[in-house]
Amino acid sequence: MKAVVIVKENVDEYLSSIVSTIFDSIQVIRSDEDIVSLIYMDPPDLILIDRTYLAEHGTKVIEEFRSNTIYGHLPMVAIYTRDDLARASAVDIPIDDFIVLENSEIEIRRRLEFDTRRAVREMDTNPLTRLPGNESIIRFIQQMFDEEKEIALAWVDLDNFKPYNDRYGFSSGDEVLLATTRILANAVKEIKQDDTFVGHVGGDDFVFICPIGNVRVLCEEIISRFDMVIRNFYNDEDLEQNGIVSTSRSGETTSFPIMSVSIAVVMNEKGHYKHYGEASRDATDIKKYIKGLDGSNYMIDRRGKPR
Amino acid sequence: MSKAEKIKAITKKIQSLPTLPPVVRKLTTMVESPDVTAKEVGKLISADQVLSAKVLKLVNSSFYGFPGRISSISHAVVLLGFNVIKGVVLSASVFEIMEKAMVGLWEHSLGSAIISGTISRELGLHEPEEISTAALLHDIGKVLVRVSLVSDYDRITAIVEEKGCSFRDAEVEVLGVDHSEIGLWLSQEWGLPERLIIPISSHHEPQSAVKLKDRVAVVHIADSLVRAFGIGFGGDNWVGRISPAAWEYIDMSRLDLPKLMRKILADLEEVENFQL
Repeated sequence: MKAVVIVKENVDEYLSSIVSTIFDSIQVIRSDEDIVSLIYMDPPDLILIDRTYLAEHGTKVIEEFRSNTIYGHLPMVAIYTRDDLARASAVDIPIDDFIVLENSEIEIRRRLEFDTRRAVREMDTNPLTRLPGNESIIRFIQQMFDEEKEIALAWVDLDNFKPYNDRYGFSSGDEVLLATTRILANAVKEIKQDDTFVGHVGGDDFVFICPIGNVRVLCEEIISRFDMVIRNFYNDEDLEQNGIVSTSRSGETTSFPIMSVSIAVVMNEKGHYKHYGEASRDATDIKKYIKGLDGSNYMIDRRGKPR
Repeated sequence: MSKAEKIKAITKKIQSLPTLPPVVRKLTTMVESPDVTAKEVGKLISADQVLSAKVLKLVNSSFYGFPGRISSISHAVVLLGFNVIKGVVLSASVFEIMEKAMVGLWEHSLGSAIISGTISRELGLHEPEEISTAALLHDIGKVLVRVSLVSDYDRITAIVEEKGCSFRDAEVEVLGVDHSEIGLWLSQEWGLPERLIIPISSHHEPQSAVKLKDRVAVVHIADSLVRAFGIGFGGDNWVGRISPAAWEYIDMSRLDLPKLMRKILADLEEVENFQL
């Protein structure tokens, strides 16, 4: 792990000794150097910005990172002294945290470790649904496979989400994704089992994991809840005609039914799967099949039997 | 500030209304039991106007992300999840004493909800559960009068007794507004969907509804029928005249009246199951 320390001239020695116990590599960047390019060339896991730098150059560099779509999530931590905290403006800058030089070594160390971990966690959290994203999904599944856990993995996606978004706009589409999240998370939680997980792959794709014995009932419950709740997201006219009817410029009409949900399930029985990729490949096959069916459907792959 | 403005100000700041102690007691036991499902808790909540309003207020708040969308308890339960519903139950406040009039209002509200559900289903209307919820909440304004305007409430009941007039006429005399207007303010403040707000605000004057006329009509008719069946107490002993507009808004020819009455009577037995 790498940290960058932005200072006017020199890094505080006490701090430097603490930082070096946490990070393998520390890059010190001084105010006369091209900070932005140096960081973009070799991005760190954490950026520390010293009070001496802030006093002289203000917060422009922080704002530059925040507005950058790729590096905007890098945790930025200000280095203050207790006196700096007297100014209310000390916390009025877009940093993630600050440390106080008078604090004990253990306080500063744990704080920096915590900031780094939180950044990793947040980076893989879907900003809309707050569900863990792909990296966490793969990690969880791989861990289950490594432990030869008998679990079911379900890939969930919405049918006719795209035309809904086109017709009702993105903010309504986001509400549908939130509703789907709540339905999945609540239904999975209600079975009260260990080894469960709900993740958001992205867009209208979700994943849930549960013990094999619960998956059938869970799929049925999720489908019935989704089909019930989704009607709240359409206006009366579309409900009346059972979906969206759009007319192209040439006058042709196309209709898109009310959104439904498709769930492709694979089972890890007797340690059948070794890698995430195998499971997701099998699920993709089933997905192709059920996507061709009308309405909400689920299908459980039985090929995941012991080899 | 006029009286009406003062009441409107109360609707803006009121956090929650109390309900009847046995309802909360029953629900508390229920949510603490390990085997209970969210659905079962939701079913009992949907018999209580105050707790139902609270659940709907939550699910329609910007925090949960579905502003003005959700109007039935079963949908709210699915979206909020068991723990949130449990929180609603455990944080519920109750009336200190079991007042006869409040028990009567509770039964009146539940009875109206049941009758509205039966009529809606018989008419083949969409979303009978939503219409039933609207009926459950139609007199929520009366709870606020009882809780936040105690001396006015006492005057209103005294006038009802003295003059033998309707609760609503007495409300207008004392407050300058009636409970349907207060219900409108409350439900707007809580961010409830139009599908609930309009029936609540127009249940005495269905002809004033600009849309959702069939729903308003059902709630209006149920409000009178529950009185005619002698269930609960809506604040006075009158059986309100059913507005001709209400009959117009629903297609009566689709109803087999004797069958409807039998169904209503059977469904009303549910009120007895909730006997307090």
